[in-house]
Amino acid sequence: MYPDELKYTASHEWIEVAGDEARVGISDYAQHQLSDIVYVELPEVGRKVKKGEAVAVVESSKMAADCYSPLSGEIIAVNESLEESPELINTSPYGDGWLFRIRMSNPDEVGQLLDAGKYQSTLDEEH
Amino acid sequence: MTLKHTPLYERHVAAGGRMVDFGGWEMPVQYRSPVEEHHAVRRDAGIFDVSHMGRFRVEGPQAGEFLDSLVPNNVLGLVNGKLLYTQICTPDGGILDDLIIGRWSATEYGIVVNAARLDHDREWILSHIGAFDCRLTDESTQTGMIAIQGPAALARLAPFTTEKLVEMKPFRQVRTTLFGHAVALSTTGYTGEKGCEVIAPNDVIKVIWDKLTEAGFPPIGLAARDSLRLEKGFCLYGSDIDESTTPIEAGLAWTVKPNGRPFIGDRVVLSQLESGPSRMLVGFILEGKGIPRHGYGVFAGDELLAPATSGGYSPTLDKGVGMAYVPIELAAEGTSLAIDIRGRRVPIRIARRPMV
Repeated sequence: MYPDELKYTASHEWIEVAGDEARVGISDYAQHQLSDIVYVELPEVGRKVKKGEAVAVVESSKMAADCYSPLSGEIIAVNESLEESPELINTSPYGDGWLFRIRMSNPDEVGQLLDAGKYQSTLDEEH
Repeated sequence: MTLKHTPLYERHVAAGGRMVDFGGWEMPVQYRSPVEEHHAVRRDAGIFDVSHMGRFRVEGPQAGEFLDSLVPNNVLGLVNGKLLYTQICTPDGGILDDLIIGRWSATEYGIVVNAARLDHDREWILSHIGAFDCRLTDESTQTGMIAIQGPAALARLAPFTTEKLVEMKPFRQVRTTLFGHAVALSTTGYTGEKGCEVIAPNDVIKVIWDKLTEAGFPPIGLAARDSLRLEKGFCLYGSDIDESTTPIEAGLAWTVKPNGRPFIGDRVVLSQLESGPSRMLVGFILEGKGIPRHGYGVFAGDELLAPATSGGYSPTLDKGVGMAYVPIELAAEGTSLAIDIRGRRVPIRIARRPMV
């Protein structure tokens, strides 16, 4: 459910770090809570964002949820296939359902992200 | 605050229902994907626990006259076994609740009201009985209620009752048996599909839920209940209609049937019925990408007209749909307006209700 090679935030984003770049999506827990995802609003490529800034909106049939950038930096790519197939987030939250890629301006922030075990325990505390 | 439970609560939990606080009731928002649940009801059939709604009985020689004095619809025009949809209003025509009234006999009527308005409605109705020779009984806590909805619902239910269900027209009610148990059954619902609603004592309603589940009816949660009613343009009390809106403005003129007798709110309601309202609750369909939500602003050019009263995703259309009050001159089907979705103006087209 929560792959060990990824990092997580308490607001349910996941982060795959590779050098000074990172790929970001929402966790299996988040997609399950939202259920049928029917629309995704993605940031513009080139946008400079700060850690914690709302950058995307993931909407299910039930609600709209903000997605926050887990790191500071520049958006360098977004998952354009979500425009036609937002349900990829439900079917493949860690794969084809990724949201955006970011080039980090402050790689030290990676140290503040949660590992899979810590993320799992924040979920356990919520319930 | 302790959340209230319907008699079917344990069954929802056991079936994996995701339980949420719904106006003080702990109710299942979904059992699986809400969109799948929605399609199941549009294409086949499903069952809903609607036990949280209020159920009253009004009995007495003047029960009909009394109820007729409360609502804009023609209660005295009902024959035994028929129901009508109507509202209770303030003296200024504002809607206090919408409800269904069914006639069992000249001296006995059943009423179903919204869960959130149950206590209000009971007190309000009691306070108006005055000299009318009738009495009200609140049967909400002793009984449960299940809605069985969808194009296949009545045919699949037919083997389990002596009533000729498939031949029943909408808005009829009978006392019959279902799975061998005495129930009150009405051909009503909130999905726009064929189907019925069944009322029975708490212990019986549990058995009926189990039998329906065994017969293959999937349980449907509140999320799909909302998308099903929204696509059909049905009003949700507290969102699309409330004390600040009248039945005529809400597009419910078809339920206003003056029969020459006074009713509470008649001055405003009848005047609007005759001369037309200045604004109207319309349905709309998004022309662009996005999902409209309750409260998002509807615009004509740069002018904010009103917030959307309902909004959401329509699984049938695979588009965003909603409802809003707009000036009557902008209420015609096909009118192009826009809705503000997080700072982005997305075009919408006014659509006839129901939108599907």
